[in-house]
Amino acid sequence: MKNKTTWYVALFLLVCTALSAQKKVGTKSGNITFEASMPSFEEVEAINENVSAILNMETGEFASLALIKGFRFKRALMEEHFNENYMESHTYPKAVFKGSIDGFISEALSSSEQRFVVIGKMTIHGIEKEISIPIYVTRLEEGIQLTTKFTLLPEDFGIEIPSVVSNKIADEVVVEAHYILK
Amino acid sequence: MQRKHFLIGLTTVSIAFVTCTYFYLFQNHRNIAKETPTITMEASDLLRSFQDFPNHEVLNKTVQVSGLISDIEANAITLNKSVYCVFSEMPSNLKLEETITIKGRCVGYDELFEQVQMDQCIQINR
Repeated sequence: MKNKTTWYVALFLLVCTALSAQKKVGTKSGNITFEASMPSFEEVEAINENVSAILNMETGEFASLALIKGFRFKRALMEEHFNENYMESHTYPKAVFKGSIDGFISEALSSSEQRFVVIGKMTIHGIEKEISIPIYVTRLEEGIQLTTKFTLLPEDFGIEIPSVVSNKIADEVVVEAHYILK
Repeated sequence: MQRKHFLIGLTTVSIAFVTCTYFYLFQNHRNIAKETPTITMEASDLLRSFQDFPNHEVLNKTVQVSGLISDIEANAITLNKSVYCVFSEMPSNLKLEETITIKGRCVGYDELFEQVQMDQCIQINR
C-alpha cells in the first residue's frame, strides 16, 4: 500500500515537471539592434545577436537579458567608447527587461502577427525604469516569434553624451528586438 | 634654406599626425583567435567564479575553456551546461557529450539561463 502511494506521488511529480517544462519558452540567440545616428554623420549602430529571453506561456511573463559587451559595432573605437565611456559595461555588464505581456493568451496565438503591449521594468546602466512597449507575437513553426521596436532616451538611464559628440549622436535611441522562442 | 628645412619638418609632422589619427580612428577589431588566453579553466569553474563575483576580471578577456558539450545550436554550443560559446564559424562534426577545448572572448554572465557567455569562439582541440 505504502509502495503504491509512493509510485503515485512519483508519477504525479513527473507529470508536474513535464507540464511546467512545457509552459516556458526561451532563446539565447535573440537579436537586438540599436541606432542613434544623425543625418550626414557616421552611423551609430550596433547589434547583439546573443540576447537571451524567456516567456511564460501561461502567464505572459517575459524577461530578456542582453550583455552590453555583446553589442558589436562596425568600428572598434566606437565599440570601445560605447563600453567604456557611455555604458560603463565593466560596472554595469547587462541590460535587463522584466515584465509581462498584457492580455497574453497563448492559445489565441496564430501564424498572423498579433499586437500586444508589454509592461515592465527596464534596467540599463544600473538604472531601473518602468516602461510599456508594443510587441508583436506570431506563432511560427520554429517557435514563438516576438518583435518590437521602441525608443529610449540615454538621459533616462543616467548615460551622459558629452557635448563634443552630442551633434553626432541622436537624442533618441531606436531599439529593435527580434526573438524566436522555443 | 632654414625656411625649406622648416617646411620639410612641418610636412613630416603633419603626415605623421594624420597617419596616427587615421589608425586610431579606424583601428581594427580585436582578433580573439590570435590572442593568448588570459586564463585557462574548466567550463564549470568559470561559471562558479562568475556566480561569486558578477563583475569578474575575465570580462572582455580572451579565455580558454574546456568541458563536455551539453547542447548544440546553429552557431553555438554549451559546455557543461555552464558556458554558452558562440562561434564566428561553427565547426562541423561536433557531437553531444564530447569533450572540447575552445577559446573565445568572455562577454559576461547571463543570469536568466545562469550561464557564462562567450563569443568569437574557435575550437582548439577535441
